[in-house]
Amino acid sequence: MDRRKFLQNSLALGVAAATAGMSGCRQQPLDLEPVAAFAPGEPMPWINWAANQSCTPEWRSAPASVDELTEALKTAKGCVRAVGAGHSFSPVVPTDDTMISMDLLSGLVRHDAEKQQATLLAGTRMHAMGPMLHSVGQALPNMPDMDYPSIGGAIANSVHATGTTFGSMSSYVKELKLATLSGDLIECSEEKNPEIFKAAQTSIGSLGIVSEITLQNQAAFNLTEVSSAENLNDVLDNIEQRCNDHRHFEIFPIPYSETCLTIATDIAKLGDQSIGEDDPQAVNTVRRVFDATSWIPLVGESLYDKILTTALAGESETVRTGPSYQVFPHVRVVRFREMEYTVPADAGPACVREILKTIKDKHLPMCFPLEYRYVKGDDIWLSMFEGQAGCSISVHQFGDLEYKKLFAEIEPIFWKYGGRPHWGKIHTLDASKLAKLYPKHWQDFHEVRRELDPQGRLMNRHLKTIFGS
Amino acid sequence: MNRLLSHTLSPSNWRPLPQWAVPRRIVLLCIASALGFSAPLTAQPDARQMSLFVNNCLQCHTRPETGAPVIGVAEDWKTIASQGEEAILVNVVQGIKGMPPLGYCSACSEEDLRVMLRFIVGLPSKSGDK
Repeated sequence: MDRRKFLQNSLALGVAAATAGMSGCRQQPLDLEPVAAFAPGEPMPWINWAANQSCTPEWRSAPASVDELTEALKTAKGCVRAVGAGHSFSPVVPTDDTMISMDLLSGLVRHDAEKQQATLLAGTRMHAMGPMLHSVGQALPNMPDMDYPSIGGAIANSVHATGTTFGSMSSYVKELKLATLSGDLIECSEEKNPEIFKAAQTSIGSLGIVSEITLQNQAAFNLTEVSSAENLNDVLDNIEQRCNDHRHFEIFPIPYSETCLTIATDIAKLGDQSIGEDDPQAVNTVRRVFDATSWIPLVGESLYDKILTTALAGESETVRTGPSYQVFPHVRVVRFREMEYTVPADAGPACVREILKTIKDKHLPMCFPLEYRYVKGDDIWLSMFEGQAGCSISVHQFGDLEYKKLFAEIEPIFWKYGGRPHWGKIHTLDASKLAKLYPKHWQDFHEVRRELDPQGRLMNRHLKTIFGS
Repeated sequence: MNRLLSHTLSPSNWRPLPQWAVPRRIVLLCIASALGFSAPLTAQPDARQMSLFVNNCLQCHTRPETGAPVIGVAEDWKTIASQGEEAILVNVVQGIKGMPPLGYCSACSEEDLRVMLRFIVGLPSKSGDK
């Protein structure tokens, strides 16, 4: 019997129990009401991927050249926000006034074979970057586990992947061009306009709109990724060694289970072969097992853990191998909401253990696996990794289930460990609290921001909350 | 992150990673179609719309593993086509199941989306199409 069949049979047992007179499961799916309704012929809303943010801007622009971008900024009205792929969970994009879409500013501008650097238009989606860079013999050294975002959006929010020797996407930026509301195009790097550069490497779109980005890449390479089911405590007890053993290492702890899933990724060796493939719907299978078992009085949660552990035990590892840009990302079709904080790297194991204990102790209806990653420290003013290596821990809830109350139970744990929230994910911190998390450069950043946007026209309601008016 | 569970929970029907050769072939088919090699009644996106189509729609609609209907596979689109253009448009804008709102395309106008959905679903073109 394979694992899926085992889970399905176990699910059937849960359903049988339910029909035997026990009360229903405790997490009721919400109606999938659209966050913004649309009727043909009416103004079209913008809605993010997670469908928890929306707006209907009065003016929309989709520049197809850098000149068109600077002109659009110069003539823009009201609050101006840029949008890439719309993958942020936090309300960084919504504006009622002017929205500038970067969809058409996509492509490879130039490359330098000697330096292994490439310049891309900021609207280039990451799924397009892999083949583009490959065609000139280059590859990103590291890449997030999904490739839907634009590179401009990834930089704006310090999007990251995993690997103790790899920084966030922002840390690979060597130069960028920043289009401002005045219609200027500012070139910046460590040498040219260095203060604007350090602010623009992670700015949440509050300085202007980045039009071009030059990335430090490396020669194209192949990777092999190995996924396994393991005991979480064993992995956490040995986490430093596990990270040192691999180019990239991450964990997916499963609430209510002692089993976790690990992914170790290394440079491919001759003869490596893929075994297995993604099933983007797998978390829905886990959800059905959780829903069918976890509510059963006294034994439900342990039954769920037993089913998962048994289903996952004894199976061989799953392997994916190929060009790096094909191995790093994975298909993501089950929509969810996400909160992520980065705590100091050393605090990672204690923090994730406390989160899992809280979920269990409070019987929180969460079965979506957490994600646990490490990222190298950097010197980018508002990067979550500024001044220290970080352990990024993500908490998820299915897109049709209530999430705010659950995240509210978890968020204080991150605060206790000195966590910094991911700018593009859900959190509740305001400027006064965030300033304390970035003591070194918070004021430096805002001096640059006020210089470039003295009227605060790039600040929507959310940015006013996180940065202060 | 779904991949973790997917790896361990779906050992059947394993196959190698999808290769970019397939999307490239499909992109060429799209371009050929746009240039007039397809049935005359099918919508024809202009160059700008085709750029948006390639950047947004094709990232899922060329990959069977996403569960999205695949461009060029008529069977995948039958049920969708039967809903009619207006209902499809509403689903595209609001998102449905794994389909993200606006199909990721924040630059698309209602007319852009209409042309693209006619093109990909195989609905008849309207007078406004190129």
